[in-house]
Amino acid sequence: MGEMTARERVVNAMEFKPVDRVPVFDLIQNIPLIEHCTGEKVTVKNGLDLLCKTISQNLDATRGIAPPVEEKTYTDKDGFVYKQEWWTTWLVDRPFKDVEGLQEYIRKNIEELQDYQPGDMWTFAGKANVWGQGDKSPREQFMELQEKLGDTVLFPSESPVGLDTAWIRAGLELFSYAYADDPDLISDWLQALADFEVKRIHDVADLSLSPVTLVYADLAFKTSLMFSPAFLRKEFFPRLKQVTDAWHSHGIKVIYHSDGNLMEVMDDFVATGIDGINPVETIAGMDVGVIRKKYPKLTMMGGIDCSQLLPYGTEEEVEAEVKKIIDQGFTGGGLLLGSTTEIHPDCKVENVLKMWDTADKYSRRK
Amino acid sequence: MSLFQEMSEAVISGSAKKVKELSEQALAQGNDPQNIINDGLIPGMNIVGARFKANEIYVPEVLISARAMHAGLNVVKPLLSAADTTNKGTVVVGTVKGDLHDIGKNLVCMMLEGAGYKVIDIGIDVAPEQFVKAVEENKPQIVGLSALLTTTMINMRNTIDLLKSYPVKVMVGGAPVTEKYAQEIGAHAYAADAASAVDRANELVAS
Repeated sequence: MGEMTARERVVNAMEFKPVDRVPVFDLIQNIPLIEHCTGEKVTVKNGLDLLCKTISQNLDATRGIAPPVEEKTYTDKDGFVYKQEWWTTWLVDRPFKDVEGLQEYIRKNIEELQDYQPGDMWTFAGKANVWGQGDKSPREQFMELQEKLGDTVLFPSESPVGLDTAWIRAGLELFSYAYADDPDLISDWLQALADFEVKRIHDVADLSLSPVTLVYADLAFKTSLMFSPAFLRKEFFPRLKQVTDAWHSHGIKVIYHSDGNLMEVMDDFVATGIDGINPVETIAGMDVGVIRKKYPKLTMMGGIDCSQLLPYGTEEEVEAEVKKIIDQGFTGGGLLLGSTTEIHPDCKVENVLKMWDTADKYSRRK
Repeated sequence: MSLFQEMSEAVISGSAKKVKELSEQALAQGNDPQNIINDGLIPGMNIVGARFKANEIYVPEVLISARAMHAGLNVVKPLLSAADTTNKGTVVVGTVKGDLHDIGKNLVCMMLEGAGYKVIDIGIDVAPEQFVKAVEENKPQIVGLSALLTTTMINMRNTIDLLKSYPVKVMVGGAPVTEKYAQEIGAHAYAADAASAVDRANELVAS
């Protein structure tokens, strides 16, 4: 088989059609790795270019590219306070301190969400990734990044279902109290968030730009789900299906992202029609072999532990794990291999290089 | 069902209003405030902790029960003199330097408080020196260190190094932390989740 393009490799893998090797996906947030791959020192000025160069040299697919920024703290129009760093944005304070204050905010936010206008940015999630950080339209930002990335598939958007947007905005304590006190209000809020996202999807989705997107809501810890299956079945899965259907209506495949152990509700996820799951947090008990056996047509994206293995393991351990994950999860397709969320600053450069090298050589051998 | 059993059930079901009413009723009947805590509120939270550990209930239910327990504590605590107050020990808890996550830390605080510990929550992004200051001020038996990020767990080691000269046990936990890592950095205990943190704390104060 001849060398495929990254897009051919990613699409074929997700459709379980022949590929030349396993596609490699990741989110790179590691300056020593970027400097090793490019041979240049990273600065705020050249950071985005060097990051994209590293990605284009090594990855078939990526998401959530953030340009370097000076660290800063800022307050948005609603009074949410954010601390912004290059790789992440933290919500550090909220404009309400009790359930009553949260409920007042929710009522106002529902009205804002219902007043969707084409071109609206997703004003909360957008702040945490590339789509909210510039004055240009999402399409213009995408085109600029894609040009820097060459052949690598860039996910067009990170698409929130709304549940984690809501609980992160509210804080988990106040979110839980508010749901206990007035479940209908929270339910209305979650629906307004999902409806807003569906409208946004129909504005931005374009198969010619990218064949895959990442839909997300973090729902689980290392040891269990955050929310009960009953709650998720009532308040989450129908809205995940709504968002998934919207992307599918444009021919775009959906990979769903949540950290943690999701096995208790994996049947529910698959029933929504998602095409894949990420990051398959193996250290949390997500077993690639078990998932492949039970869900033979579900693509897995991730699988290589970035919590212990990539930062603290040896190259030999990384090589063995990559081979194991390929053996268990790559049946000629169905796997986009990568870290279990991101190549963060503590991952050893030599381990990351070993992961990529082993993925290439071992999967071609298969 | 006794009044205290009813109170425990109301804690378990997360009914803050009912716990408050029952606590007021218990006081009006002449019950000792400390008994209301020990025999009504804490047993309820103990069951919540056990169910959480067994994955029978989830974080929101624990938080709602903790809110209900606090509704009762708010009624009876002002009636306790400092001398009357009994607890299983004092625990200083914080998320280590560089880490702004607080869900796990808050859950641990609630579960420890629900199990009868006095909890000093010193917040997130806590420098090693701030942990030392809190230990000097509060003389706890245990310090609990939380981290969600691999990049911040290194500050657990730095904090433990600074606390070595103090008569205090250190317990660690958080998504990237493992038993092996806890041993490597010299922690006295590792808790995989908030309910286990209570078990480890009980073991540490008993040792």
